[in-house]
Amino acid sequence: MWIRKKELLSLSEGIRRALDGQPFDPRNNKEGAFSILKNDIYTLTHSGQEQKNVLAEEKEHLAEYLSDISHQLKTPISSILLMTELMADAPEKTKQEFLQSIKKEIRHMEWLVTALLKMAKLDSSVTNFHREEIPVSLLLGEALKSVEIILDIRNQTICLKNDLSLYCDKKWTGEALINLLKNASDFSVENSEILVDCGENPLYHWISITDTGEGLKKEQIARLFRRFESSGKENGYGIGLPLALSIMRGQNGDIAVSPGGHGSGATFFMKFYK
Amino acid sequence: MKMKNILVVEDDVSLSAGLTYALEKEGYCATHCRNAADALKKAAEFHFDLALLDMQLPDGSGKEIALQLKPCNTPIIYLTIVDDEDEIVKSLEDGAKDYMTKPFRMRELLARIKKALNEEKENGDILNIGEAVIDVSAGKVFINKQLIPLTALEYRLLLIFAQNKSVLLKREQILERIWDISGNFVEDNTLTVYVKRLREKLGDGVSITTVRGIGYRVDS
Amino acid sequence: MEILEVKDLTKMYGSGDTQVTALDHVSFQVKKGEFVAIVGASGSGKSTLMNLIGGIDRPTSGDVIVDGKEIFAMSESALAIFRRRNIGIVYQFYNLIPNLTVDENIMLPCLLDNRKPDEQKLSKIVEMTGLSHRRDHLPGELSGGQQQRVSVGRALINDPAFILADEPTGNLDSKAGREIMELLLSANRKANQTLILITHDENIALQADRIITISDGRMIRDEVMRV
Repeated sequence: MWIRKKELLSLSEGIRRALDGQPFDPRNNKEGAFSILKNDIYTLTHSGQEQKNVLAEEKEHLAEYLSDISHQLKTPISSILLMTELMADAPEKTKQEFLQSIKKEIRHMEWLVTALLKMAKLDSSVTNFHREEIPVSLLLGEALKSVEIILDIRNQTICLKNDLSLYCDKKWTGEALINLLKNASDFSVENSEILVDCGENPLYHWISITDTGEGLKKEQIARLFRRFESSGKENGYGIGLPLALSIMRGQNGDIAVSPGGHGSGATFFMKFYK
Repeated sequence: MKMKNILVVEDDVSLSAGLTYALEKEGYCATHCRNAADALKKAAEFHFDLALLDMQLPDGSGKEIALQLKPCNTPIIYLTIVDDEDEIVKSLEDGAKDYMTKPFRMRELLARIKKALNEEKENGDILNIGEAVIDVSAGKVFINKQLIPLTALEYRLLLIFAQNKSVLLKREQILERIWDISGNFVEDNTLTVYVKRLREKLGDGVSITTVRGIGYRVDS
Repeated sequence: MEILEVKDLTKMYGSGDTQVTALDHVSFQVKKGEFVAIVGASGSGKSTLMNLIGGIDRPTSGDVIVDGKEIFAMSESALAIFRRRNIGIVYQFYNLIPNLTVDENIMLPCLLDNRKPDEQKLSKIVEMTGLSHRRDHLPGELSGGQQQRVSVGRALINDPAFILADEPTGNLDSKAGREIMELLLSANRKANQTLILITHDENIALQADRIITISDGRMIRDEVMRV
């Protein structure tokens, strides 16, 4: 193969420019090893640029989180402000009611700030996961402690169909599971049994949670994982599921939804990629 | 009985006002300092039965004060905004008695202070109320050695009553202890229903008195 | 910089009275690692869009910029080579070479470049497709689902800028279809592989992070499903 010296020098100069941070695209899409080499050099010199892009994107994401926190806090703060103003000359009974409302709003803010901070940390990969082999039954047992009262009130039970051990961070996975269970309780009818199952396939281990609701429509699925779109105090104020998704994705996993419908409830799958 | 002395080192004005008020209401003698320099002086001069130290102080860290108090074996409870698990473990290994992240519930802090001062009256694992015996670690309730099956919320209610014997608990106070931070608030009429169920299951073993319009009280 | 930029893309057929606008000034960008589903009914223009993004057809006007390169500024031959090296395409009808083995079909993009692929990487991809014990089989000896899995393997071997999948489950039964989706999802999540999937099936589209809807040649909706 005949390569002119001039071409080699030009390539060399281009590489130096790339190292200097200047744009350099040597690709010429011809047949042959030299063209392939140029492709490879492009990939190599470009990895630095890619890292910069990733950082810029992360910065954008963090800015979004900050903006979210700021917007979401405005409403509870307004409520609290209003109630404290009105409390001064309200009758005793009303004062007590306002006080209770204020306490609720404070809990709301606490949750928002904690959840958003967690998501921001998870998304920028600064979280340390302590992974270990843990049976699903144990994860479920721990998670149930946080949801047993809600289940009790709605007279719902949880049934674990299978058990297996999977490799994950117990604390974080537990938190994701709690949010999914709360979601399932919310969508399920009263006096019913929520089904939890687990298994594995060549690509991943999985835990599934099936509710006894009517299934999900397209519009509902779209809203599930977007921050603050599922309204309502019941389901983690609209960040319960997005938080669960961030947790799973941060751990080399994912959450998939099978919409159900026609008399079947929806099923949420926690995937743990191998 | 001699009043216990608690050193409170916290620079936030509102928080420290609330803390000292709550501690004194509970019967403790609280000495408040707003920065490390003052705290070190006080610690050198007086003896304290316990110290509540804010980790992040304008002129240093709570750890410096802890060091000063070490020779007197004063139990330390840190108050901090950091919720890093690894940090917490390290502080506890370094000798702190306990650790509370902000925001915290005053109730929780007081319970931990009592624990640190060894003021617990009962063995924490078994609670008695009326004729009922609650095995907290097992989550089981017995009356005359018979196991009483209680649902999750019924059990929680009984626990709240047992931890506040002879105290008039307002409805709102009870509800607060059941609320979940992420938004699943138990409603007021749910409370009425569950107290009714609890009464039915406990029978004559435990007497739950309704104080109309206010709340409930359970005497031992 | 986005891994794919579609700029004001327009495709018209015919002329005068019989002129048809298949694609009408469509613009959007895709970031690295995104999973985008492009949905539309039959005749909506989504297939035209796919052919243009894949460099298989040329637009009447507008640009497609892949990894910083304007693909229509290249000659036909250069574009073919660029496509081979930078875009992984999964067709509805597998398009495997019938007299090449599973291994060889997966390696095809490298073989065409006269290169030997990294053995470890090849094994990893073969393992992903679940056909490690059938590496020397011919396509004719495989089921539809298995052939499509080879097709996905072939699309992945070159670490393409993105994978373009055109109704990848269209010719498969529901079980095999689910397996292909899992394979694509796995590559997207584990290897941060950008995935652009064309489909008319809403259920498949709902698995994506983002859904772009095409109707009558225009982009009528661009909806983010998961942040």
